[in-house]
Amino acid sequence: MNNNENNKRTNAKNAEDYLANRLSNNDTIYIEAQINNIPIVKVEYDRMLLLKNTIQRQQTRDKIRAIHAEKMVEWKGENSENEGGRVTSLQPKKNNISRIFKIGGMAAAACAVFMIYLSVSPISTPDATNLSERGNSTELDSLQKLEFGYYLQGQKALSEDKNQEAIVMFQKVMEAKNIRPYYKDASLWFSAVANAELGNEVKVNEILKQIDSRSDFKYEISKVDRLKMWWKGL
Amino acid sequence: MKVSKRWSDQEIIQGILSGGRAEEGAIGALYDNLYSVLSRYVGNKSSKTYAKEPEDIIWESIEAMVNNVKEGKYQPQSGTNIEAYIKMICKNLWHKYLASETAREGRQEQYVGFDFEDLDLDVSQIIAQKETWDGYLNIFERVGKNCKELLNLTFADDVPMNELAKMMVETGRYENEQTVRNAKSKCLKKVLLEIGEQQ
Repeated sequence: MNNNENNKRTNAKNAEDYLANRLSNNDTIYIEAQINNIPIVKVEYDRMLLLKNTIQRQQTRDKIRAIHAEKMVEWKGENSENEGGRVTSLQPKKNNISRIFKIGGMAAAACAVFMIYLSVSPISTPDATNLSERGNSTELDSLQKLEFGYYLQGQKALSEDKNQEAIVMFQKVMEAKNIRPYYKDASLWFSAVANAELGNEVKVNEILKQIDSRSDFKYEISKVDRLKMWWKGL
Repeated sequence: MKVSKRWSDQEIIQGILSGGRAEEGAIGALYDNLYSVLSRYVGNKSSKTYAKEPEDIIWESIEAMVNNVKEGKYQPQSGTNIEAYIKMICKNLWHKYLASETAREGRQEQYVGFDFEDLDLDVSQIIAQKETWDGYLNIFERVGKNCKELLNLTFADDVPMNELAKMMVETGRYENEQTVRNAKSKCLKKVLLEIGEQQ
């Protein structure tokens, strides 16, 4: 990289830090003097300021369009509810003895299948497509999207049986500042799942106690998943 | 439509200026308070089909209002309430759009009912500024997903370069920190050049 290119990078970095208020008082005075006295630095700074404002306008636009779309869906839903609809009631058919026995047998068989299912099936994770769509949503800002990336990485690691890596990623989500509480709570549950896969019984029990003590826990754990965790001997 | 508490103009302005969730609430309130009035207005103006929907004019009007509040160009005590202000913007944006569509189709007549001399000075400035910003927003729209993400994190979220590089590598978007630095530098150079050409 030549000197000219180096200078440009330094100027760009200084302008970025100045716009983000990351400079000390002395550095701020120095940069302001450069902006006021060196035409090329001023041009660079003005363009960067314009870019920053453009990006902020883009975020405002994204926000307004997301709210617009949300309102349209909300009002459309309310209109169709108000239109009303006829509900066709489903009447049960007449019972007879043989049908009761038949149903009883089927229930016992289903019970056995369900027990096998509990012992062998993995605990469910959210659908991957659904997750990446949520990650691209315009409702999320860039930092949220990036922190959401940790959540996606955790899910990916969990599905690939890289449980230690999953625990690290879920821990990052729980420490993130900009992600919604829903994902933090989901990460807590999935870190229990990853720990269960590693056989860390003490840690799992500790997490489950923590989840049970929370009345405001946002992630809804299905009863089947709870049962699977219990059935796996934890 | 659910009946909720109607926000006052002052509450809406305060919400927009506060940003975050408060801003979202204020924009939602603008929709609750004004959407039906605005959609009746733009919806009744033409039976023709255009590239732009009346819906687009509504969000563009709200966007212009929100940006003006943020930049201090709209003051509640200036005599015009928010409803009247947005209606004025909406009317002018819609008429200007219809007029440009008519001209594009090569027809001689002006859009009936629109007299450019009636255009309020303040609103004409709003429209001119909107067109300038739309030009810059188009540049940003075209930069590509990865570049946009890097610039958003740098300039909207104020994430410093070293932190940005670390996060990008950790989330598997880039192989190493140097590739993040190079990608951002290349992207920034390209966007600043295009902005310079448009200035």
